[in-house]
Amino acid sequence: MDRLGDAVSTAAADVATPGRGIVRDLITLTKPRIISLLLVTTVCAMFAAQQGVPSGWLILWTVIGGYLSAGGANTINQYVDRDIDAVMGRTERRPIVTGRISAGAALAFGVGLVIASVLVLGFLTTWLAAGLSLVGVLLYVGLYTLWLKRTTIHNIVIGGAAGAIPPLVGWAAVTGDLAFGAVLLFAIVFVWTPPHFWALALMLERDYDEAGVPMLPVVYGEQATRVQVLLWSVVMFGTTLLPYAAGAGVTYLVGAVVLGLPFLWMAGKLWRGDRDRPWAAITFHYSLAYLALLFVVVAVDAAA
Amino acid sequence: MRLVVLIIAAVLVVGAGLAIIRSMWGMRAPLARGATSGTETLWLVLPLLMSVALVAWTAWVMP
Repeated sequence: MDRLGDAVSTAAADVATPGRGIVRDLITLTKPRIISLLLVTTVCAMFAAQQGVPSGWLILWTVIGGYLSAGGANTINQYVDRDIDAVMGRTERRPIVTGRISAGAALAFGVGLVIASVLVLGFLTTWLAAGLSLVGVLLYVGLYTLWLKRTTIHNIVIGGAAGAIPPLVGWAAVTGDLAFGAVLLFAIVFVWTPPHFWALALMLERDYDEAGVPMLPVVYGEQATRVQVLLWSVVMFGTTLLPYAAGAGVTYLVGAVVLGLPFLWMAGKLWRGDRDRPWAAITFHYSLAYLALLFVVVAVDAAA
Repeated sequence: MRLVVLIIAAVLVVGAGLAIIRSMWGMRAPLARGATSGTETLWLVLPLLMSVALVAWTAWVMP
């Protein structure tokens, strides 16, 4: 009843102030909560590139450009996936599916955001950052959404490259080029993606099945997915040790180990199939905090 | 110390990487949707080759 009441209240508010409803729907299209994590990786990579605290203006323009870029990519993704979103419980209330925003308008909005992001990043940071953000959009929309998502169980592994671009954008915004440290940060996000997304897929297996999306648990089952979550968590943990070997400080090493061991423990509980707690959900939610905190440790270590 | 950490990282990345390829390779036969193809093999092997290359690169630049 509470949810019904909220829906009625929201609808009434939209009728009273239609402009606010449209603005809220446009913001919803950009998926702000997902972008917030991407921006954490972007800004912390800027600290690592600077080996200190970057200029506040540079951070501001990079964050704005990064939001526009990721928001545009997310909007175009919802335009392409509107048929899938309509049959999944998690996404059936999105603005395009419900008709609150027309598909054509959403596509135009998404493309406009991407163009704006390139201009903001190009003119106010560096053109390498602008180019990299555009590559991220193309990977997300072209490689992941249009090709891999509906055709292979490896969709989120290869598609994870798109989500790993933001640290490169942050790094390039500061230095105008890419060093080995930037590649390591890219790799960390890349190998973090499979255990993160497959934990989520375990929670939404039925939705993905009904939508015909060949996520790993749909095709190979839950136990096979749990094994892969554990194995990829080990790859991820090993990869997070590499920055220390490459020259990062002890602060980073301690942070990577302290944050990574609980991740491995949760993945282990998930793999064992322990029923005492919902380990897929716990692993998924921890993975979000894990990535954000790990990048904060990267920034702190670089600035210290 | 950095060398010890690099060796631990290498063991974890290479060991788990090989286990991923082995486990996923074995599961290719009963694939329910879509046929196994060269592209699928590429998607399976490529990320792990990149991880191993990253370990080697780290060893190269290690201070």
